[in-house]
Amino acid sequence: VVATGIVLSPLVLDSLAAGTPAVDPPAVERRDDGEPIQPLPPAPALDARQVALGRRLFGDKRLSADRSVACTSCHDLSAGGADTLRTSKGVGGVQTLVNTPTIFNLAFNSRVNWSGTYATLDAHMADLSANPIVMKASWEGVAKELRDDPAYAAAFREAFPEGLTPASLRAALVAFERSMVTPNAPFDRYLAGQKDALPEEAQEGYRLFKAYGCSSCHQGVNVGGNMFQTFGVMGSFFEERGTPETDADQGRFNVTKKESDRHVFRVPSLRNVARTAPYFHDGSAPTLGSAIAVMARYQLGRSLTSREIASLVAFLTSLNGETPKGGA
Amino acid sequence: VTPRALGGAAAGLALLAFLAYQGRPLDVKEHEATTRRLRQASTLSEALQKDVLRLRQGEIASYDPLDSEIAALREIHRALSSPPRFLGPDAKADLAARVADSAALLQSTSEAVETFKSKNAVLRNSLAYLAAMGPETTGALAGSADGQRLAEELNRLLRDVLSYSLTSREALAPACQSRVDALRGEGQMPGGVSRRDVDLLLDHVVKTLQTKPPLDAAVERILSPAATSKVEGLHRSYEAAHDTAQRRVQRYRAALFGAALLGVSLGGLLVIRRLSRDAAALRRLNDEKNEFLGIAAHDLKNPLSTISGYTSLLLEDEEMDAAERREVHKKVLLASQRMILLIKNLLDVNAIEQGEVKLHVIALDLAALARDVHESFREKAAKKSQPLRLEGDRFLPVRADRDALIHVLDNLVSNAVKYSPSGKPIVVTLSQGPLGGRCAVKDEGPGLSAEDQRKLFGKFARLSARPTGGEHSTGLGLSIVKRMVEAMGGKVWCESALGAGSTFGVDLPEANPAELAATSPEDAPARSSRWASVEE
Repeated sequence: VVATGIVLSPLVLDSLAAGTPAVDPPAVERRDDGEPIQPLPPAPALDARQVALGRRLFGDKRLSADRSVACTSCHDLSAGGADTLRTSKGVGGVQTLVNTPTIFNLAFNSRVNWSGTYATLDAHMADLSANPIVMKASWEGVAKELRDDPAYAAAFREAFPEGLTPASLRAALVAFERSMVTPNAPFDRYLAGQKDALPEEAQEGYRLFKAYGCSSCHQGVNVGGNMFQTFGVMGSFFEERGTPETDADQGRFNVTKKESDRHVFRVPSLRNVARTAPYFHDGSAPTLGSAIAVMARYQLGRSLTSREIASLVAFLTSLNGETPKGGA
Repeated sequence: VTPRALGGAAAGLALLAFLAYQGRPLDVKEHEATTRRLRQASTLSEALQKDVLRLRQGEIASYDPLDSEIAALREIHRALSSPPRFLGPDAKADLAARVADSAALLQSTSEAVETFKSKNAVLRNSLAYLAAMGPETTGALAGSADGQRLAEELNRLLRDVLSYSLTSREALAPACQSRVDALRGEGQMPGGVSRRDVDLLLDHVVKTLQTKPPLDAAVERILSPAATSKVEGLHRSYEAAHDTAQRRVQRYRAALFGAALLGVSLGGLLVIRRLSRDAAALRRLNDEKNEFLGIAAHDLKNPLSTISGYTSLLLEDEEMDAAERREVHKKVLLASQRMILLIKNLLDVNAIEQGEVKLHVIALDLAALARDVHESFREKAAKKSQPLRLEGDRFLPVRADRDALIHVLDNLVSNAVKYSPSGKPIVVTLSQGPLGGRCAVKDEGPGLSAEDQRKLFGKFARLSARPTGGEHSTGLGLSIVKRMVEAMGGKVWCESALGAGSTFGVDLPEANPAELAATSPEDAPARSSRWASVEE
């Protein structure tokens, strides 16, 4: 017995060494071509069944307390992933506090919502259901109700080992959000080397965009979405807006309560911006041109000619990508 | 295999299993993953610092790398916060504390990075504005008749601001600020320069002055050597903890090897001892067999010689009368009967040894059987003038085979009569013994030496004692007795000293008296035909 044990001990010991698979951190992608904007990468690899479930949930009014609104009520997937109102109507017709941002290309933002309250889509989704202005529901309640729907129950069992739970509900919705990528914008094709993808006027707009400093904040894959900035660097936007200051105008201050964060907002992505009027957190700029003028004035301390604005509009319009599959 | 040996083997195997478990190799994948994470953390920390510098210098223009690096560092810290399971509890706690420390630093770094991004954008824009619009305005001012002084003022301001933005000459800031204040008080500008354009320039100067200190502070925080040295310290302490764990495993492995070697040696030793013991036992058995054959042949030769001698006498001596012939025939008969007895005894011993004898153990009254045996030897003892007494308990229930027990008692009393000198008393005592019933036969014969007592119950024990009345002995009696008694779960014993007589005893297991009444009517014959008589 002992001799056999000695002979076998290396095998036994080695079999005990079977390890746990290591989780590697996500790879850091780099593009050092000096351009402030990089083309959109393809949508991350996702489970198609989860995405399909997320898409169904996204249009399901049972997610709201009074079954009056679905995600699509404000995030129109055929119109830039947002609506055309200054602020939207949430559950029970309550007016939302800020302009509805797009849900396109969220996978490439490092912060979620105007104040950058959330660092991840999961964290954002966790709080969304209970938000009294958005859904005024609870994930537990929604999960309970949807479990009675045999079609959902079956699809969830297929897409998630644990079936339909509050967590898998959220996971399906986040998977859908992450799938909403708008590739092949003319500007991305231009960056990829297709010079005729960008009209002359838009190319001039891009030059101005960089020269005037728009690209100091609106940069990266999402042309924004990855940093904070004070609204009114070179002037007092809120004093000159003409309407009283609201809580929502305080921006990131509402999250951090730091005085230095007053009027600070997440720099929004400018992808598909031509489709998401009106503009700013308060929806105060009805057109892209007017938004550009406000930005130039209050962020850059410049006044632009109408010709320059037209060039910039042309450039920004070239950031419109293909509407994601299944979106329209 | 004794229970002690089994216990020892089990304990040995348990020890080996424990050592093997403690000596199992460290989880290579976990170690590699941890090392990889720590290395990545170092790389990422350095990359973060480098990218901040490049962004500050305008070499790159996208903040995405910073976000990816911080997200990856967060992920790594999250993964590291549960240290590899193979580390000792102290090392685990130490590492977890260091990871938490490093994560806290990462949090403060990421806040500094947010400040950096915002302030860097503002500073870049203002400097770009000053660079683009400054020369245009100063040029226009310089071109006008009374704008020389203002142009120089503005030019110096712009130079100083640029210098301030690029260097750490903090003293320039108040100087610039007072120039701004002076220029703001100038009123209308000459040379067609709009007051508003100059004010915008001054706004950007002020923005530059406001933005640089917090930007520098943020950069300083991000570039602080603490950020990289924390991660490196983490790496070093993990390496040390891993080495400790590795040494621990190696110690256990060495112990395992030693213990296994010891186990093999011990096992080998036991086997050798067992084999040599078996060899000795076999040798003894062989010697015994040889001796047995010699004695048996010798014992069989004597009566055969007698038979042969008397038979030739009968053939040769034709003058013998009928009475004489009858006498000789009787002697031949006696000799052949003695041979039959001897052979029967040998067969009995063999049968018992081969396990061919089936004992029918029942509840018996030892006292009653002893009385029968006592009765049957009265005459024989009287012939040698030996007072044969029976003493002690009148009722002793024991478990035994009836025939075998009678044979045993016969044998013990017969030996006493045989070996005691004439006139010496023999006492049969019945009593409670350690097992149940005891029957002891005490004589006042010559006694037995210690050497004889040792050989007493072996086959053909030829002791120094000799029968005192010319009786014969096969030397097999006591060896049969011992085997029978042991087969019934009893014990046979002897107490003696040279010149002080001997006491032979038999102890038998106790029986329930009720059982005795149920199973044993006292009608069986006192003597058995199943066993060779001890009588000749």
